[in-house]
Amino acid sequence: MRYLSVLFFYLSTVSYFVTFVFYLLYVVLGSSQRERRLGETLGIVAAGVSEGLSQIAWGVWATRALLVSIAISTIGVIARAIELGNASQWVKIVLLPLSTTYETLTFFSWLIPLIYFVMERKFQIKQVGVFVTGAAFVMLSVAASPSLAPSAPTGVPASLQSYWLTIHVLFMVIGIAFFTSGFGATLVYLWRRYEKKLFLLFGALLGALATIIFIVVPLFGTLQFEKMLASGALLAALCAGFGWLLLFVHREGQPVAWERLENIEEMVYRCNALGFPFYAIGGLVFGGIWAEQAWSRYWGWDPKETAMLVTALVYAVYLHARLTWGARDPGWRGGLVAWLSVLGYLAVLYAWIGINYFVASLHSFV
Amino acid sequence: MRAFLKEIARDLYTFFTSITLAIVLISLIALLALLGTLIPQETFTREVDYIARYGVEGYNTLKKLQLTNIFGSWYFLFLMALFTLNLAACTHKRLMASWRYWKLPMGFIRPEDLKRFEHSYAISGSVCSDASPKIREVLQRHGYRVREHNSQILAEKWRWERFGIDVFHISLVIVIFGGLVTMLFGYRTFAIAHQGDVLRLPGADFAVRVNRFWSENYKNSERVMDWRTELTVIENDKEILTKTIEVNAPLRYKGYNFYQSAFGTDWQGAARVTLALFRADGTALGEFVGTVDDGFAVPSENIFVKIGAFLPDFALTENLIAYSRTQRLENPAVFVEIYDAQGFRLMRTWAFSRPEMQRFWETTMARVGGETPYRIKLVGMTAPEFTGLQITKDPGRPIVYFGFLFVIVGLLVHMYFKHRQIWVHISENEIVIAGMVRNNLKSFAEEFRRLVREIERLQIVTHPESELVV
Ligand code: HEM
Repeated sequence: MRYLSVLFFYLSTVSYFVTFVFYLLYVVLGSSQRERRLGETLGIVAAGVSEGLSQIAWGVWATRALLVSIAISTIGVIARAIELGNASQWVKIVLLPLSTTYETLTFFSWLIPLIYFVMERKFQIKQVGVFVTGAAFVMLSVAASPSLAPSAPTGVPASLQSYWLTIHVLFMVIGIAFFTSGFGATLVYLWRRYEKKLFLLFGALLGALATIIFIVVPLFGTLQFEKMLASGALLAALCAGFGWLLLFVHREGQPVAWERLENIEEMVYRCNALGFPFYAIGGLVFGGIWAEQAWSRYWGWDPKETAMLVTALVYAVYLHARLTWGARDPGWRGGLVAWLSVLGYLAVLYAWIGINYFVASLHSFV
Repeated sequence: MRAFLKEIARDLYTFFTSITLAIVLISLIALLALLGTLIPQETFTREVDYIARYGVEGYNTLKKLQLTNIFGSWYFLFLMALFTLNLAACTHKRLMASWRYWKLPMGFIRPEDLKRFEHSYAISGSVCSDASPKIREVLQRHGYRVREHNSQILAEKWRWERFGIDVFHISLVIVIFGGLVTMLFGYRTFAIAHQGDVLRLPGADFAVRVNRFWSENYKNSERVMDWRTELTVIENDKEILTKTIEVNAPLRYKGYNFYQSAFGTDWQGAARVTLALFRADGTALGEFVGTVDDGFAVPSENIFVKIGAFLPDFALTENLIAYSRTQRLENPAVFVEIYDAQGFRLMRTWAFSRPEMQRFWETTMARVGGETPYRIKLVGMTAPEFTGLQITKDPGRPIVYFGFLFVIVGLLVHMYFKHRQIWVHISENEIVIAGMVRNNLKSFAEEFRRLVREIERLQIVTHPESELVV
């Protein structure tokens, strides 16, 4: 293989998959083990049923595997940075491998698990790892697909040759990495909060999103008055339906024991609150400074810029809502705050990936 | 009357300091911005592309609703104005609260109450007489500022942290203000310059000469590494300075900025074309050369041929407006008008260099408009290279950067510092330690535990029987 980095990214793809399986086993067997122990002490379950597998401390192994995966992708990222530097004749010394989609995806698959690792040590909520390592694996798989293929590094275009760009992208990527951990924790939180009904809710949410993307937006796009009206009505109906379902599920479920949720909610909040400064400073400030040097304005309402602003605003709404409506409210307000965190991550995905498919913009490189 | 006005003022203040209003406004702005990413905006999109996408009617509807220019629409600006007011009012209210917080002294708290704190620890046993200075030293080592009050040690750090998020919110207002200054008093233009051009700007007491421009490729590659333009500032006929600008490295002089922004061949502005002219009967009249917006005379026929426009990539919209799809030489076409000696227009037509386009056009025109006295073919074209300079004057820049700086400072302070307070109550047979942190962070538990351990290790309590409270 001509490029060392490519080899290591392939290795890390495998490694993240293994890690993902470990986390999955931890969630499936680890928790059932806890429940079984409880059952044994209560005398409900006979001891010794399929002890073997669930005796293993999957959580510990999962974290170890995570460290190995991170180590492998660290080498990959460093190797890629050097290769890119060589290809660009070191026009600017600090070049992070972030100039193509392939490079950003591989970079993310290094940084997101790394940040998650730090948060895991703090909060010890390992269920989040399923989502994070799964995401890293998917990103690497996408990066390895033929259309993005780990091609030879090429010299970076002139518009990307700036220290500010490096700082800008680095901050945003760190912000997104925190948000990703936060989103994983939000999923765990919602799972705990609504228990099995979450499938219903996520099913409904996915259905609503699909309806919006495939029916509401195209209907609105026709620009005929009646159809625009219809799409508006449909959107309102979807929102109302989803809200109603949420209330229904909330009412029907057992009252949530706040103590069980508190730690997870704190992890969600800390991840989002730590991600916000990176994302907002990286996007609005450093992005602005760079755009001023490269395109002569800090802010031009370019679609990607605007989508980034939308994301920052959604997280600002999340932070303020949590502040005023109270995260500790075990009632629907606490739930609403968690759904705002979901909305925030949807916005992250839109600004990061979705926008490239909807509109052409100056930022078409990432 | 006065009471009434006062009441209104108070109600307005309450309205504008509501965080619920902030949430609603931010959500609405986010929603409109989202719409602005889905519908292409005027700044990036040509009319013809709109028509190609939405049709004439759809485009007109969009335009009427100001959806093609959302960020300049009255409703968006109105929301922004409301939001700015909201932000300013909130900041004012919060600043008052922070000020009260800042002024709130740390005071004596009874040991029974201290024991009820979330972070609290009691060591009982007989306490040494020099306990207080030793504990004070530990706390000082951890960066606490220490006071003593009625045999109670009051220690705290980072009280000023409370202002961090206020600084952040104020800086947002400053950034918005700076943007407004640029919008109102700034100046921006795009200049296409050729070698040797001298650019003069309205209001500027200097001129800028374009000495030369070139591009550089990566070694052994077709990829462009950078575009550069060498500029010289001339003031009072003296050359002040010469600088080579490139992408990401503009020239800044007296508040004006010159950015390397484009590079290419100036087909639309200054193409030089070679046309072959024929009479209707097919007699060749020869080849002639002319530039856009100008033309040439054909003395033998006593006519003047005017070259109206050159499009490097000819295409037609739905309602038959000609435009250039790209700036590349894909389907070159030139618009020509022929006048007789009296200035009377004899004909007008497009001429193409791609033979199949030429044939298609001639047959179509023959069907629609009948015979024309001349036939024209586009046989050659050149155009000068140009460098595209974006020129701006940006009086809001220092304000915006000042705001940026404090956005960062405020947010970082808010993120990394939280006001911490420690009470240590020392009596003859007991030491009670209690701590509090603003916003009740988890990480404080660790620091508290460490402090307690260090105090325990001082051995200032004999026969310690420690007891964890709560
Ligand atoms: C786009 C605009 C805004 C952004 C990005 C923003 C951002 C933030 C952030 C990051 C925090 C810290 C939250 C936390 O620590 O959990 C915060 C706190 C706060 N914001 Fe905003 N904010 C914005 C607008 C507003 C407005 C308009 C108001 C007034 C209604 C407001 C009022 C507050 C208040 C009262 C706090 C509480 C601070 C505290 O006591 O910790 N903010 N804001």
